[in-house]
Amino acid sequence: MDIWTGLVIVLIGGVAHGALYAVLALGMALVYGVSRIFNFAHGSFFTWGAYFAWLLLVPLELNYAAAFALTIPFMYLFGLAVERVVIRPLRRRSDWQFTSIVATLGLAFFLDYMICVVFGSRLKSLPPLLEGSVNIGNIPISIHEIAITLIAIAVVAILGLFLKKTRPGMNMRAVSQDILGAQIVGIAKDKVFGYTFAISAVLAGIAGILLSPLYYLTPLGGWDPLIKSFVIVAFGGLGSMRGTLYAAIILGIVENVVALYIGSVWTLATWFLVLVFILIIRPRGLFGVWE
Amino acid sequence: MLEVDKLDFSYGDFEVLRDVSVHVNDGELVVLFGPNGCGKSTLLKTIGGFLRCVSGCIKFDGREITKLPSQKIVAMGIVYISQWRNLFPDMTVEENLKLGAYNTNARAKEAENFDYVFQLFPKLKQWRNRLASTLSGGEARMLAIGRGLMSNGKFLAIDEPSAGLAPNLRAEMFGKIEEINESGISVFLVEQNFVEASELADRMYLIEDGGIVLEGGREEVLSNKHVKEAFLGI
Repeated sequence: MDIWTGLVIVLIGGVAHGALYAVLALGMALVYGVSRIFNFAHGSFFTWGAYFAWLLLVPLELNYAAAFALTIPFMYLFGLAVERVVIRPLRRRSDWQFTSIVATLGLAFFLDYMICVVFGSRLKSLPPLLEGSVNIGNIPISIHEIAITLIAIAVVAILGLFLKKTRPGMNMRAVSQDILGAQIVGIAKDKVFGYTFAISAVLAGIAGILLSPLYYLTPLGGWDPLIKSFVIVAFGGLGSMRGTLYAAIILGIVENVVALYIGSVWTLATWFLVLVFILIIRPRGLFGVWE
Repeated sequence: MLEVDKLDFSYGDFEVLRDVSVHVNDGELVVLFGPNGCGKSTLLKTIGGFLRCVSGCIKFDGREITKLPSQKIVAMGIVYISQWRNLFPDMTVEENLKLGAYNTNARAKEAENFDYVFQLFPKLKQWRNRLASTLSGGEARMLAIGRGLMSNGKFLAIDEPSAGLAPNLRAEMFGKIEEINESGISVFLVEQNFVEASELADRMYLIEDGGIVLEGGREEVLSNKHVKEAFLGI
């Protein structure tokens, strides 16, 4: 296989991975943009989405359409509940930015532990969405991977339309751009914080279903996604959805390049290096609006 | 229409408003003035429900609104137009105006109010697709007032609309506010440039150190000895 074919494959694969990462990272970016909270339990929502889908797909033997259809409302309500019970009471305090980080971190450990309690800690397997593979050029690509990439792209597109065209979407953008202005026009900011958090939980859950390694579902599987989301959001620029999207794609490509040419053991280290690089060279990120 | 009775407000231990009582009758344009930092913006924000007072009572059309959240107060018809505009920078002029029509009464009248706002501020119509972050100070003020009008309120609490504007723009701004008041909307206007504002005022209040020290009509206030010494340098 010549160098150019290799490069093309890496680029396409990277963009595909980028789309998947975008679903995950946009959830975290939304919560930060609208309510200025870093949700350290984002990875745990990822894991819970994956496990809930596992429950529907394996013991209950439903199909993937049903799995998505049921996991989405489950994650939405889960997110609403967490926001109401854990985050909202903290917001009254003057040190809420700090205490919310500590609280979501603690919540992450708690939620991961609850997965062990509810589902048991042995490895689980998610069945592939669709069996089989196609050959593009000489390279076999599994249909599962094509399917999840298409779903990810659709999710990102729907999210974009939602933010631009619907009332709740406009409310979220308004709150993220000027919170007093949003209150001045009569937006109920607490409600917006609530459904933003719920939507981010849904995105994390969908990412969990799409990104969890098929034969290797573990309760601690959310920490990698958490770190990667954080790096993507910081790289793209806090408060910018567009930045997060571009960053996800760039980092998807970078990860693929590293995995192919240097070795996949180095991928996680690469993420950390990217984070350090941004913090030193351009803390604002690509399209950052705030520091 | 609006009655504020013995309002107290503190930021922590720092007392900002002490025993403040003001009222605005239906259709009036009332001016509140005073030195910087003595509670004028705080009073407006408390009326709008963005801040909670320590004690006291606020009534609108006879109903007590002291403890209501801001979104309910906006729905009742009280619109706050802030000193710093608080516009949505990454949205267009039109999107900002559209968001102004957020509450249900406003949405029903959205088209009508768009016409009114564009007729009052024709330049906003011209700039409808410009991002709010590209507007200059005076232009942003117009948009802020336009957005406030889209909320279909009957009472406007306007915080220093002329601050930082050149003299001809100030005159234009006050002219527009007078036009708005003449269409039946009550206005509670906080202003540093109170001499110019006094020409529109039905009544005026002077607030100093968190307390109301003077109330009266234009003649009364402008001929007051303390006002002349402290503010007019006479």
